[in-house]
Amino acid sequence: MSMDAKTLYELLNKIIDSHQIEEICLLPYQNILPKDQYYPFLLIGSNLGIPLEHLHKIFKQAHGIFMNLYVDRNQGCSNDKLLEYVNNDDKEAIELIKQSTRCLLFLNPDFYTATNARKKLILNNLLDPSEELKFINLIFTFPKHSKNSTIWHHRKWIISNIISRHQSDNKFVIMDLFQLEIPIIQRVVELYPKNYYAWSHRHWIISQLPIDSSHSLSFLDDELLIMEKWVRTNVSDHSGFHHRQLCLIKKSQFYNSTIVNFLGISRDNLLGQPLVSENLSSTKTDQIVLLWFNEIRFTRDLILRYPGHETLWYHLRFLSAIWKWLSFLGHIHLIDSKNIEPYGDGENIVLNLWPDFENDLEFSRYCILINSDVDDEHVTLQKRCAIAYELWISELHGASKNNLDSLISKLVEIAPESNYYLCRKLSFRGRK
Amino acid sequence: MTSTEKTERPSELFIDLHVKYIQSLDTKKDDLEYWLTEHLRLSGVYWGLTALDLMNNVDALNKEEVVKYVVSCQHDNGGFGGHIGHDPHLLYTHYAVLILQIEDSLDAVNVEKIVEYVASRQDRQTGAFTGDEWGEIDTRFSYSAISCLSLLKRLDAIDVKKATEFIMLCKNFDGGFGSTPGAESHAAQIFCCVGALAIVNSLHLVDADLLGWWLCERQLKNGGLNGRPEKLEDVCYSWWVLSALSILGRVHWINKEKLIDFILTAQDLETGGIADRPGDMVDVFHTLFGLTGLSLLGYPGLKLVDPVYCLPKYVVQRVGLAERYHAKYGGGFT
Repeated sequence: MSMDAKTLYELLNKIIDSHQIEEICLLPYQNILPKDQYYPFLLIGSNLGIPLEHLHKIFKQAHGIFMNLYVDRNQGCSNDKLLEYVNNDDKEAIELIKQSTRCLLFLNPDFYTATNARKKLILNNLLDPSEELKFINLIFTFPKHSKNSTIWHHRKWIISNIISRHQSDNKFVIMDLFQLEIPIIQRVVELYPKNYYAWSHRHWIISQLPIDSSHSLSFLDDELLIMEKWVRTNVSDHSGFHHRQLCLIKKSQFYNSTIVNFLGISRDNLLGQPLVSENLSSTKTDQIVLLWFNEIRFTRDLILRYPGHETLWYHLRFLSAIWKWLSFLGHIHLIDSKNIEPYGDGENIVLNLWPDFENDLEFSRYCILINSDVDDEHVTLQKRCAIAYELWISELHGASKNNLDSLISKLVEIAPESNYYLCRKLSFRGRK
Repeated sequence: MTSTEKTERPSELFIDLHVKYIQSLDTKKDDLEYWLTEHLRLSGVYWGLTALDLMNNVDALNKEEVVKYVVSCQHDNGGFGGHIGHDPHLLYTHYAVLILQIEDSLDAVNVEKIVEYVASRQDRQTGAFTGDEWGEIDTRFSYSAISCLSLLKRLDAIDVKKATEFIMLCKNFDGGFGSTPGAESHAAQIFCCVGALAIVNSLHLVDADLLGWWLCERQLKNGGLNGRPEKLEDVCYSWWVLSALSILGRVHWINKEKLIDFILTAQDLETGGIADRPGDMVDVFHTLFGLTGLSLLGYPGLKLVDPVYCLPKYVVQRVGLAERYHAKYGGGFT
């Protein structure tokens, strides 16, 4: 006979309450091991397996308990029954809400009314926010659960709540809290690559770093090292590269706080006359320029090693825009490029080309030239990405219509299925 | 034709099957999926109803029951929860208004209360919108608020200038938009931002040619579209990418035939419905966005969809809102 919902729900709660669970997973099959006290759940060490076939029963049971306590049926949807339990010190109701919401979020972390209830408990000191972070870590061990914004916002809210609790506490160090976040995010993006919300959370952490502390500078330097390793081994992860971009911008801010304004910048903003930035010390400027030049060289190296990755070329597009922005602010002309150490072993001259417009074109052409006789999908893609990049920088630098047209003709040839290039080509006639 | 043959390569849209699929959704109360999506049932109703309407079958769901259900999700503060008993949230408030406009039943609710709730979600300092009282910020919410108030003809209740400024802070160097300032460009966020800018007559702030190029680069060899570089294709991006291109007057930049083919292949000819990609499980979300994609591509037998509001075009016309897209805006190359 199959087990009823109440028994399953209570057993699950008992297991979670009496063990330090480190990982949860769903079992797509029945637990066929000899029946023990945890059956039909599977407890191996600190790993808990929940059989898929029982999920809806457990969920319905938890749902019934929670909604019954949380929603005031007499008043339609509106309620603050939870606050009533708090005010009346109704320990039993509060415990039931804690248990049922825990269960609901295990199975469905997007259940936002449950995260709201738990926030109310935190605000009333009935739930420990640090423990709640650990609870979310556990939820994230199930990869699909990390792909929703509700639970990530819950996490961010808790962190903000912890920070506000310690506002007048001199011993509290925000950076210690942030330090704990990085490995969690790292694990999530490994389990569920290109996870938009996990990376957004990571951006948020970086954006919170104050730019006037050495502690946060070393945090950022660590993060840049982690990201260098990450993008090297995940060359098609655009989210990873995007995060690295934000870290590099943040790092630039440590040298010069006016770098901040890259948000919302249009390509048109970069086409005008250069502005010369006021009062920049040349050492700091050199450091900024070197930071970005190194990134350009690093990216060129990756592009040559791993041909045909759209992500790498997109990163180079970003770097070309930043470079234009830096010259717009008057940084670039101040540096003497001859004094810069060569990248890598210095043998590959194309990596070390100073990234002005002409040299950028030369790099792209070099990428097309090598392997030009190889017929391989990656090489074809590399060629397409390289010519598209030429088009990108040519537009960025206001190149002549003739130059753009000839690039577009090449792209029509290499990507005949793309209507975009075809439409642009057809528009030549309209102009003439 | 046997069903296996059909599964291999559907060459047409099986409207009857999809109508039946959507009608069956509310009868699956013993399915786990029914319970795991309970908290967003109101969105599900919007996705299903809009899909049915586009397939000329809006009556397949009982109007009176739909309206009654929507009303039961409203709270005293004017906001709607994702289902009966769930807390109010801006997203569901928007979905409620969309459903009520399709059913032409706005008089069933207190509109002034909705306006009050939506307006209260704006941070007057930054112009951003929070999803609910707990403070999550996202350009999705900016779109929800702006679309919702526009459909209620009450944009005067918010600071439109500030709202626009916030959206523009979320623009990236590639012409795309992310969820918050500095966040990675993402096709779904781009739809939200471009749609919101269209409603508030600010499309001139979009780098249309640059963004159009980025959006076209989302089309993969198999004809499907992805939402970010080097991600897998997914039917829902047929909507997010195409609607943005449509608003910018540049749908013709996409290879239509290949995309239509891709969407049709994602139909499930046994159960009805459309999946994220061929061979996967169908759901009502991807069913709607497959259909809206096809509608924007001019596929026969479907009503026209409005690329800004994601409503059947006739509904937007009935509300009396102007077309906020390419008719008014230039058409790019050719």
